[in-house]
Amino acid sequence: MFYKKISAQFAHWGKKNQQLSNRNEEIKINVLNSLRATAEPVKIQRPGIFRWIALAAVPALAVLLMVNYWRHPNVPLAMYAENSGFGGAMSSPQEAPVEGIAIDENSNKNADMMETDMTATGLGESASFKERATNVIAPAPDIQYYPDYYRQNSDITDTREFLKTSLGFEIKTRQVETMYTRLKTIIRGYDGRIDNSSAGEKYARISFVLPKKDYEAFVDEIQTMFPKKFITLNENNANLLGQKQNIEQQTQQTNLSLEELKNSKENLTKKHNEKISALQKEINQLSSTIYSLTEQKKAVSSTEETTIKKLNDQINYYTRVRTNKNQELSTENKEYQTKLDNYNKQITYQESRLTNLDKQDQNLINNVETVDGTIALQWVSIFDVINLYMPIYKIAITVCIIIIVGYLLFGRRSKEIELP
Amino acid sequence: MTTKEELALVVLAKTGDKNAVSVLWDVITPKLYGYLVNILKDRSAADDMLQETWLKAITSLHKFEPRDVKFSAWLFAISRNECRQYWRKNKHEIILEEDEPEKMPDNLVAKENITDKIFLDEILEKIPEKDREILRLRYLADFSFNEIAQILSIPPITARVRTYRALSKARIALT
Repeated sequence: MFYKKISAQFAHWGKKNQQLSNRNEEIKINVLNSLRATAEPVKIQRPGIFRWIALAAVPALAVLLMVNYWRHPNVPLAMYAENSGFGGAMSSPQEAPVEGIAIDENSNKNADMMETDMTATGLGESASFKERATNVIAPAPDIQYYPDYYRQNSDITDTREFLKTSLGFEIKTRQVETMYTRLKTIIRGYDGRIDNSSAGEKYARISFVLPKKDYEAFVDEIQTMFPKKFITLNENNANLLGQKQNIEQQTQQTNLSLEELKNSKENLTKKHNEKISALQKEINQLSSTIYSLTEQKKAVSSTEETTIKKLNDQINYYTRVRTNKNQELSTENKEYQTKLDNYNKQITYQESRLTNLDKQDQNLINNVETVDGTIALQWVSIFDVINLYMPIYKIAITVCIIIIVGYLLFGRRSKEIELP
Repeated sequence: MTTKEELALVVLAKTGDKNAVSVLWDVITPKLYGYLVNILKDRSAADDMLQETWLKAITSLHKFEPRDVKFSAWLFAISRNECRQYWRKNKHEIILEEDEPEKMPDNLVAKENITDKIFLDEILEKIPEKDREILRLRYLADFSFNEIAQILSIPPITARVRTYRALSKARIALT
């Protein structure tokens, strides 16, 4: 309010101060007489052309950025999720497909890859030996359990490495089918195995495994086949130490269990034998006594009824005792057999578990010694090839930025007046 | 007068058209002379300065490029430069003689009470020369902030800020 008022006052003051000299006409004539014509016609330069260019550069820049993002989203291909030897456990966290590339959805995922056998451990390790001994239902040896692959608390003091390598190539080429065939041949040439492949006019994909010893030579060969800008290599290494430790721990526990079972079985047999021996001795003694009494009875005259009766009583008594002992013997034998069978089953189970663990260990070694890989071939147009070497969008974006910055720095300033 | 009209007249003036120069004279000179009188406080000095300014402008007209610079702004820049040289030679300002102008063109406001004019002149004397200059160019010469920025070789935003500061100082001087 104040500014408006004083501004109005000064405006009024300004108007009042505008005036002409007393010698206005005289000075005017002098000035007009000094005017001389210039020979050349004067061109009127349109002001502010740079301003219009800079203004146009702003929406142009926005459009270029959007188009550039749309054409080249920065998303890697899924490299090795489908065909890792881990049952999918070690898949890449970024699995969004690249635009325009057809993924083979019917690919044979893990079934054939499981020549690396994923056998399992058995019962819970926390169960006591007694529980396991008395309550076991021994599983068939060929049932497979999934081992604890996700063990992440490996001790730092264990510095062993069991590195599982996975690699993926993204290759841009104008000859998709030719390169597809050639690459398959190369893989087989390095004693590799192709697990999955699919090819079309503009896209192809190969999933394979290779011996680790040939890995570097293979990578070098592939990289020499294509220019640097056309090929991208992604490599992943995972340490399977956790698995190895798990297998070792289970093996140790199984061995311990087996030893305990064998010891128990031995003790059982020993005690049984002792008991049988003692019982047999008693039975023999009783038989001997009965025989002796029987002989005595034969020697006694038939008129000595009292003696005969006494002897008969004794014979009957010892016979009963002997019968009991025989029953005891029979019972002991039966019990022994039952327990023995039980121990044998448990021992068999633990032995089969050991076999499985051994197989797991071997599978782990085999797994580490192979490299899982994928190669994705993508067709490129001539424009894309040019863009790879000379990114047009980036050049255009850079030019727009330079124009805008130039305008902000130099264009907006008022032109300085050059004094004559 | 619009920028386009002025530009067209300048183009004609460059070809030697005296009528074009005459029109420019009639539009610009009242502001320029008033500005010079307010600075120099001496009418005869202002007359000389006015003639010097225009002569310099006319003789250098072929060099003038009317791209983003108005002719009137260029003229005022020349006159400021001439004033600086004048002060350097004379080393002091001359006090204004209190007489009324003998001629007032028809297109200006008719003679009125000059009390307001002298009152604001007194207030202007109380503020620094830098702020006075801004107020002269803004309200006497009727320039926009962009044109003031060109004449004073400062950014337009600075011209705007200085104008408001000058008005604030004038208000303080009022109280």
